[in-house]
Formats: sequence, C-alpha cells, structure tokens
Amino acid sequence: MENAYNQDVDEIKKFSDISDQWWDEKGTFKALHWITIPRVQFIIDHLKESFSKKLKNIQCLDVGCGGGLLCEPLSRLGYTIKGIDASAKAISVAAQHATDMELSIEYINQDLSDFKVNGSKVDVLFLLELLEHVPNPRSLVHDALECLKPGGLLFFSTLNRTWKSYVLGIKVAENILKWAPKGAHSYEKFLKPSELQGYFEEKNFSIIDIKGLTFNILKGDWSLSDDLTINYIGVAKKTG
Amino acid sequence: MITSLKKFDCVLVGSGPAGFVFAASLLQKDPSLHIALIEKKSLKAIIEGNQKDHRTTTLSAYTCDILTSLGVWKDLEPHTVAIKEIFVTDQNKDSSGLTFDEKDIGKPFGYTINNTILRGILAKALKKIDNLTIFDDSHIDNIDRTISNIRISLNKKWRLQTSLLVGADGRFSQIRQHFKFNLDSKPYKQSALVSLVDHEKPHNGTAFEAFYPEGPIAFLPYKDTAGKESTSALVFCGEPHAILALQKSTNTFVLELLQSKVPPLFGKVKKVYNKQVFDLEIGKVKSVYQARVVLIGDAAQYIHPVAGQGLNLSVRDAKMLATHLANMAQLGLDLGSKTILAAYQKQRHIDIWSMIGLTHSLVRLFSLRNPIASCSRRMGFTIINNLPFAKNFLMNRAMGYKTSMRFPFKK
Repeated sequence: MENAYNQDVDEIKKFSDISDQWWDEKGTFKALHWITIPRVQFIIDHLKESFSKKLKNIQCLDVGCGGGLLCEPLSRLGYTIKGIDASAKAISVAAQHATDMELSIEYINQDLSDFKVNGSKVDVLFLLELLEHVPNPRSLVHDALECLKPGGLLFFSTLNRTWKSYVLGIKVAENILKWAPKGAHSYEKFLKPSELQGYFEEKNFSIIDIKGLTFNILKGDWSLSDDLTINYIGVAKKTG
Repeated sequence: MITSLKKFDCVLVGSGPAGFVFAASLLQKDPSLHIALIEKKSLKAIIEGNQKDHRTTTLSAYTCDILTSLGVWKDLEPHTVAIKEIFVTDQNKDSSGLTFDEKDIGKPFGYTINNTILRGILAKALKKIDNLTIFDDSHIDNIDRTISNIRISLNKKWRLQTSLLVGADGRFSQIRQHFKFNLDSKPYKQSALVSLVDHEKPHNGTAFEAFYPEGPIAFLPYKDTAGKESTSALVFCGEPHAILALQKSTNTFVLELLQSKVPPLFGKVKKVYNKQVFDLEIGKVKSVYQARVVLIGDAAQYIHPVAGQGLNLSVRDAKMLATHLANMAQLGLDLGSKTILAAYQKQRHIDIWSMIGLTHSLVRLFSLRNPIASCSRRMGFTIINNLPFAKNFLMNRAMGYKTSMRFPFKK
C-alpha cells in the first residue's frame, strides 16, 4: 500500500517491527553488517578522490538510513552526515546507538521529499538498499539528484533483476541462509543497472563507477567485484 | 585517587612477542590510532630479565621479516644463531635421518634466541614507540563491558575506556579467563626439561631433533654471551614423572643419558646448566573473539614445542590482526564489532588449524611404539628426502611462509 509519499506502508511496518535488531550483528541484519565493509570501502575511495575540502565540510545525507550502519563509520571518520528514514522506530534505534557510541549524528524521521522542500542541498547522498523498497524508484532517484550541490555524488546500491538474484538473493538468502528476513525482497522491485543509468541520463547524470558485491564461498566473506548479477553498488555524477 | 577516564581505540594486554608485533605494526600502519598497553610486570624488570631462564625460541624466516620491518631485528640479530641445517632422526638411529640444508633454499631456516633476551629487547623497543601509552607494573582491578565499550580500572588509579581489548597475555591469559572464553585443552602427558648443554664440537648452526616414543629431544644452536658456538639449548620431552626424576638427578647422569641420545656430530656432551621443567599441553579457544575482545598468540592457542612454531604462530596472529584493524580503521568501522573480529578469525582459521594439526600429528606419529609405525616413519623420511616438492613444502611451512601444495597440472 502506498501513501502520499514515495513510500510503501507495508515495507515501513515490516522494517519497523524488526528495528530493535538493527545492531544485532548475528541477527536479522547480519548480512548487511558484513557487506558494510566493502560498501564503505567503495564509498570512501570515491569520497577521497572527489573532494579535497575538510571532511567536516562534506555534507552527506543517508536516505533510508535504518539503524545507522552507514552513518556511524562516516561520522567516525569526520564527515558530517544526517540520516533520514520513514520508520520512526528505526530512527530512534539509530539515535540511541549513536549516543551509546559517543557519536554525534543527526537522525530525523522524514521523507526525502520533505528534505527537498526545505531547499537543503548536500555534497553526497546515499540510496543504499532502498530503491527496491519504494513504489517509484525513478522519482526517488530524480528527487535525490535535485538535493545535490554542484559536483555532488549520488551513491546507490540494490539488487539486479537476474535469475541469479532471484535464486540467490531471495530464495537462498531468505529461506536457507536466513541472511535476510523472509519477504524482505520482491523480485519485480529489483533494478537492472541499465534502468538506473536511464533514470540518471534523464537528468544529465551518469554512473561513473559500479561494482558488484559478491560473496566468496571459499573465503566466506563479501568483497567488491566485477560481477553485477546480484548485489551491486555504484556512484553517479553530473555529466560534463 | 581515581583519575579521569582515558579513551583509547584499542587496549592491548601483554608485552610479549605477540603484543609487541601487534602494537608496533598497528601504529606503523596507522599512527593516528590511540593504543594503550597494559603489562603486569614492570618493563624494567623484563629488560633486566632472569638470567637463569634458558628457554630458547625459534624465530622463523617469516617472523624475522616482520621483526625487520618493525626495525627491531638489528638489535636482536647479534643475539641469535642462524639455523643452517635441521637434522631429524627417529630414535637417533643412524640411517634414518632427514636433513634439511639451507643450501636447498638459499637462506637460514630461522634463528634461535634466548627468551629472556628476546623479551628484554622487545620491551625496550616498546618503550620507544611514539603514541603508545604504556601502563606497566599494572594490575587490572576490574573490567566492565557495555555494548559500546570496555572499561578497565588499573592499580585503583587509572580508568581506561576502549572500543577493543586485545588479549596477548599468554597461555594463562587473564583476559581469556575473565571473559570465560571456551578453551579446549588437553595435556600431552609429557613434560619438557629445558636447559643448556656444552658440547665438544661447535654446532655450526645445526638444529637436531630426535623422536622417541616418550617424546622428542632437541638441540637448538645457541650462542652464549661470549659468542661461543659449542653450546646448544636442550629440550628434553618425556613422561612427566621421568622428566621430574631427571631434573632431580645428578648432572653426570643427565650427561651420560644425553650422550646416548645425540648424534656424533656434537662430540662429547660436557656440561649441563640449570634445569627447568614445564608441562606440555595443547590448547585452543573455540572462538578467538567476543564482542569487543579478541585473543592473539598463546592466549588464543598454544601448541607442543616439537616444531618450534608457537611463537611464529603468535607473531602471524598479531601481524594479521594489526593489518586488518588498520584497514578497518581507515573505513571508520567499529574495531570492536563482532563483524570485524569475525572477519579476522576467518583469515586466521586455516593457518592456525594447519599448524595445530601438523604439530599434533608429529607428536602422535612419533609416539607410536609398534615396529610397523617406526618402520614407516623411516620410510617416510627416505621418501621426503628424495621428493623435492614435499621437502620444499615442509621447509616453507617451517619458515612460516604461506604455501600450498602445487598440483602437477595446470588450470
């Protein structure tokens, strides 16, 4: 069910109900904690390359921040980051955890459209593991691009729509490995990188780098790769 | 009086080889980190050392590479002896020896050094590390863990707060006991008598090891303070009651017994020094980490001295954890989180298990008394002596380098 925002009420309820588990590293969000390592690696490399100003002057916005898994490492490094999420429960979990960790991060229970209305702009915007949970990913991408300052970066990560992501990303991950809660993902919401590239091009943006997030069975860990068939992370920037 | 809270990214307990390598490597990779070291003894006492402790350690070639990169090898080297040849026999029967020669690989297998000297030099080096805060001669009064940090009170005076506590405090680790880590341990029903032996001929860098059903006997090349090379460090393993009896018996008796157990290359054994006895045990924690705590070195696993690998395993733990944490700190990740520590454990898993497996099977294999086992051991020696790839594999393992058996076919 959709509401006035670009939000799916059932999705928000689903994540609100399990929000107390955000920081249980062996619990429901276990896989997300693991992939945070290569995700942050990808992000930091690009931030270092693209910005030369002081870290605290680089303003970041994490849309759909959940429990704050991304906000915390960035804040610890010295970036100025704000997290917004449609789930009030997730926001309160994130805020409490940041306090426990002695980090100062601003968390607000807000939709991106409200952020946009305020006219605020940021240097970096994150849409991680979010596009597959909203009714209209295209308009979310467009809203996000409007919130960027000139020279800003938009990071995104989601699941590709391939037979492999159907089998491994949904069936195996949810039912066998229990890496994601049951019903966490629906296949038809997955996006191909080419579709995302289309959304960006409509606004004169382009994907400047994209990498797969791949689980290595032998090593038992997640790393960045060139295989985009299941999970992927990328970054887009204004062309020209 | 309790002073204010001091905050650190990481607090390390223990100033032995694992502790030194960890602290020095981590701060070398990321000098911006705030690290504290807690040591029960005073560093001064460690530097002065106990002159009567003759325990000797084998530093593998890989360990020496690490110590070189940390700038401490130049201070250690004058006190070490290069192992140029390793001579292994089954019950010291002449025809059954297995010889590893440095000529086969182009560099020494490793170096031996007196433990006390090693600890002393490392303690001196620790004092010189910038931005390492040292609390020595320190007693931990209390440890308190919350979801976001660990707080430690010391000497009823200091209070430290850290995201991660690293236990490098040895086989009887206080950190391991405090957090009730699950330790699997098993005594070997063997003890080791440790001493020094003067012999007639110089050892020329030869390490000798003879396997007996009761336990192995080893001579490790030793250099005394006068630089004389006709002394070896003795490790004599056997059944505990026999070893205790040996400790109590006269030196003349010990020398006679040794003479019958070592090959002629050492000549007559002339003098034995202060005899210490240690019980041998194998132990390994089920998981090396909990939230905000990780164990390295002997605190995490200790093995039989048969292959001289204990210290080298510790050093590899320390080096890998330091590298991993420095990388994670670059990403702003929470160093004490289970995800980060689990990733370290995964990286270490294969090395630790293969070294435990290798040492344990050596001890077991050579304890078998029946003639078939004895005969196959000697056949095994002959085969290894004549199969270059098997010999290279064993030599590389002993030197501490990562190796894999290469299959004779291409991908």
